[in-house]
Amino acid sequence: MSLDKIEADYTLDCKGMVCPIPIVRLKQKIGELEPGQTLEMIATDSAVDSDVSAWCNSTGNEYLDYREEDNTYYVYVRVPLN
Amino acid sequence: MGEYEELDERIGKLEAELEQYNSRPKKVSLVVWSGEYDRVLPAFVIANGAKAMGMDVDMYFTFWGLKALQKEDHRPEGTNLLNKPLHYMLPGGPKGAKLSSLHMYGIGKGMIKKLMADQGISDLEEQIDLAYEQGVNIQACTLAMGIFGMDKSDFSDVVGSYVGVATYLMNAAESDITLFI
Repeated sequence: MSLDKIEADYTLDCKGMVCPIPIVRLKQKIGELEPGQTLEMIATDSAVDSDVSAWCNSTGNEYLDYREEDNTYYVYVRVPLN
Repeated sequence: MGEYEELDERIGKLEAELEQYNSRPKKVSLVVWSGEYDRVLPAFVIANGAKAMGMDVDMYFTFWGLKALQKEDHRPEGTNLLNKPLHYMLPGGPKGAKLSSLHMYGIGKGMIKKLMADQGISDLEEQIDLAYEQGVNIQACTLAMGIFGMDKSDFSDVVGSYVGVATYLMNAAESDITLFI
């Protein structure tokens, strides 16, 4: 999927937060999203790529993409449809 | 019923059981034996991460680990001449927890806490509160409580139950991950 085509329904700002807080916040927030909706996480902890991917693997959510810009990490997650 | 139909039925049953087994939440059991700040903190980081991953978490606190769960600014009375002074020598609670290395009468711990704060890392108190909010099952070992002369009134409200080794073993046997810290 092309990165610039992801239009997230919600942005979760985790800048300045470190392990395990970003995934704790992610878990809390994802529960408020509808199936099929997309969340963008913005973080500064370089572990979020690997950790969000592992989190998706364990929780059945869809890990869409990841990019890094100026030491800031953007991770995209989608709630599955069913 | 034919032989194949019977086999088919048995396979169907097994598959259903397997699916049920695989879809259950993963479970983590931590034994927290240590009471030092730099051991208890990572135990709570693992517990909080595991809860966020949708896992069930039990933390079984025994021996020195119990001291980390003590009420803040509280000194247990103790029950005899041997365990009374123990609580003077070892203050307990997250504030009283020492570093396992380079503690240097608290100077080293202050430095580590400053380094952590600079990195935006939550302190032990916050990690414990978060674990409680997330529903981590925090257990205190009654055997060690007896040794240290501590009772329920000595512990912070985060402690959910006071249990023995059989409870730990039952939980550990059902767990996918167990750690001794």
